[in-house]
Amino acid sequence: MREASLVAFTLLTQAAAGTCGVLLALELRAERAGTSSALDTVALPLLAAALLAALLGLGASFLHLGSPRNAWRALRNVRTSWLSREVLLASLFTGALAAAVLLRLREGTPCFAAGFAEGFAGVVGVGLVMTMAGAYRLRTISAWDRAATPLAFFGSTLVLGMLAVAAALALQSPDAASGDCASRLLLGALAVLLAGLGATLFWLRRLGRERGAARETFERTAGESRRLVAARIVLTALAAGAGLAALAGPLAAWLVVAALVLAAAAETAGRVLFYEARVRSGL
Amino acid sequence: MTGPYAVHLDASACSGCKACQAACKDHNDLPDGILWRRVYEVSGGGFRRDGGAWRQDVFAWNLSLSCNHCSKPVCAEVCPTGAVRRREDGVVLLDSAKCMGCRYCEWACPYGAPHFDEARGVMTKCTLCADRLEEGLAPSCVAACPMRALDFGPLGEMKERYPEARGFPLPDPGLTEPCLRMTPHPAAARSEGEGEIANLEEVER
Repeated sequence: MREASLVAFTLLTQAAAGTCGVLLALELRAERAGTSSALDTVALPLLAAALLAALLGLGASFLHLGSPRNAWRALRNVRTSWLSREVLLASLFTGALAAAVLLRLREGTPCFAAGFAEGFAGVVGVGLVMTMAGAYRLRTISAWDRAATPLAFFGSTLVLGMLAVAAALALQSPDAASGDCASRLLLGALAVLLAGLGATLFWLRRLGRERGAARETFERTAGESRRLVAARIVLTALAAGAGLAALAGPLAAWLVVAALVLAAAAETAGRVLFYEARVRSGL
Repeated sequence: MTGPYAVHLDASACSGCKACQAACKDHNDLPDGILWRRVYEVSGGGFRRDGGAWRQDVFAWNLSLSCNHCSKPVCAEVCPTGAVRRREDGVVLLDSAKCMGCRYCEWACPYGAPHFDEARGVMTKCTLCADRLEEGLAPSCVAACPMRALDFGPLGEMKERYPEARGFPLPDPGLTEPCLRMTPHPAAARSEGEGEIANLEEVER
């Protein structure tokens, strides 16, 4: 797999953006409702995990470069290059996340500055996923230049983010309120995961009906990459099974963690398939 | 002569001798595995039953291509470091010293013009022999063509004289507006866009 570093970069940063975004949304909701949130205890570990994922993702992206010493120049064409914008937002996102973690560590309790940094990271995270989708919507690569690309990226972001927060809530011996929140997140993540699989299969079907590079992508997927499609389907089914089993009785933390791990594996298979679909129009 | 410039390929005259490819490699001292100009061998057809007889419609022709110094160079648009730029005379240049080797331009160019130099970890591409242009000379590929299948001149003049380069295996010229004009091989018109590139292994090394 030639693009392993990019698979790692995109999935890890999307998982980080999703975790940060979901956490922020839940905190805002709890604040508006005026309830003491069970999120307070899991917020710091979750933000720290998101920061670690973002740092690992950024580190992985360097492995893809032929001349990493020139990487600092990647911010020089923000005007026209989506890749340049992606690098800018990835740096801002990681910086804001690091600030949020450090401020929470220093203050012990959430303060305005930590909240601001977290909010900024959440908003920039959404922008980061948008720029990622923009970077891959190359008009010369038919399989990528369609709405399926942003849908897939935002789908991965939501699935991994919601499952990470649900797993953290389930692991902290939940009370009734946080258990209910984790269950709803789990249910939402499973719905997005299954919708993502459906969207992938629809994308492949559309490619198969077209001509040229799109058709070539389909043939490659049905040939060399068919095991990846099968892996995505099986892993998604297993993740859904683990999630539904967790929802069936009292929320079992290990089943939620299993759903997260299996969903991450399914998303990885899907992302590898995405890179395998890179067939350029023309020569 | 002032830019922007265009190259004309008379595919009906090209014999596929690859003198252009060799001249480019020699003039630019390109390392093993990098071809800024490539000669594609397009072939197709076969034997078809016609009543009681079998007729053949086999065809083969050559397509000599390098960077087309597009009017809308997608490589320059997507390059995050600004290493690729289009000069006022239309020549699209890549400054390898600024390149970080992300290979994004390689993904984006529909003509496969930028090439990755594994040894240096940077992209490289055709310069339209900018050094020769300064001396008032044609690019080395054009000068080396024994069949005079390659021609070179100001874009406006070439547009008046020759048709737009399109049809299999070329991408839609609307993508990047390449400064390439082409007289198609008669077989290209007959085959109606069918065929395959027979020497992919050679040109995609």
